[in-house]
Amino acid sequence: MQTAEKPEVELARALLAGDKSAFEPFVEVFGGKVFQYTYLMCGQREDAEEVAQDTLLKIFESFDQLKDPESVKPWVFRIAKNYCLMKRRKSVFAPQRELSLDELLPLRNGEGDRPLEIADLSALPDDEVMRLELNSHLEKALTELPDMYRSVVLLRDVEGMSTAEAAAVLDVSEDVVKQRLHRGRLALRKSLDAYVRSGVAGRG
Amino acid sequence: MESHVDDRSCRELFALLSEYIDGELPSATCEEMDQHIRSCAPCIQFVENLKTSIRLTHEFECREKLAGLPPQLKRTLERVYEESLRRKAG
Repeated sequence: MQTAEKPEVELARALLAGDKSAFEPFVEVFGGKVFQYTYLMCGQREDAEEVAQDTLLKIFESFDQLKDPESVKPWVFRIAKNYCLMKRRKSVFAPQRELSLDELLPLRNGEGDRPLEIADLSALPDDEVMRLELNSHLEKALTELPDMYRSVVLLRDVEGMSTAEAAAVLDVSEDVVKQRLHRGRLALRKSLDAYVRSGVAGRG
Repeated sequence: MESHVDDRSCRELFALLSEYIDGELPSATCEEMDQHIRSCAPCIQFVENLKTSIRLTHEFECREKLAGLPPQLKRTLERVYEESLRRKAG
């Protein structure tokens, strides 16, 4: 069965073939994606805009070096990550505070098979107001994650890259990506859970 | 208050949950986990909770957006793109 090609892969393929009508949409798609990543990694709008512009310039200057349109996303994010590093002058991806699994464990009510003390996230109202509220809390939770976990969560869960692609962007092994992703996810889950259980969510 | 994951199998499982959800585990390990989770109410509850949190993260969109690029930068991008195509062809 043939699956539909991802829009960004289609755009990259068209640009490599010299189809200039793909230029504007490509800039739109990747400008937005790169800005979101760098804004959440750098934490400042001015820095993120500069990094997004530098990244776009580098991408188009070296477009002839993109060998395989299928790998356009990791290729772009690798360039963005490098500009992010230069912007921060110190490594934003250097190991900082490690999250241990123990601190991310859920709590239970008493013994045995009693329910855990966690919110039922799936029972939250599925409306626009709740979506915006959760989105806004998630942004805060993401920026509070130590950098090395945040970068992996952004590439894997927000951008939907594979483990191998995220490993190639970040220059780490796939095992490291898996380990950081798991801890990052658990920390976000814990933060969302605390937010929902505090009763702030949905109060308007 | 104590942790749910004081049971040994729950604790071992906890460390592998993301790989389990992503389908990245060897099939034997995955089957073992399926077997445990099916009969462990707290684990079912936690896996569902984590899956929802991952889905919400996947749907996340930053409130800050990139403003439109300056027209001069766009012209530069187009120019360097065309130069790179010529290099490729030449």
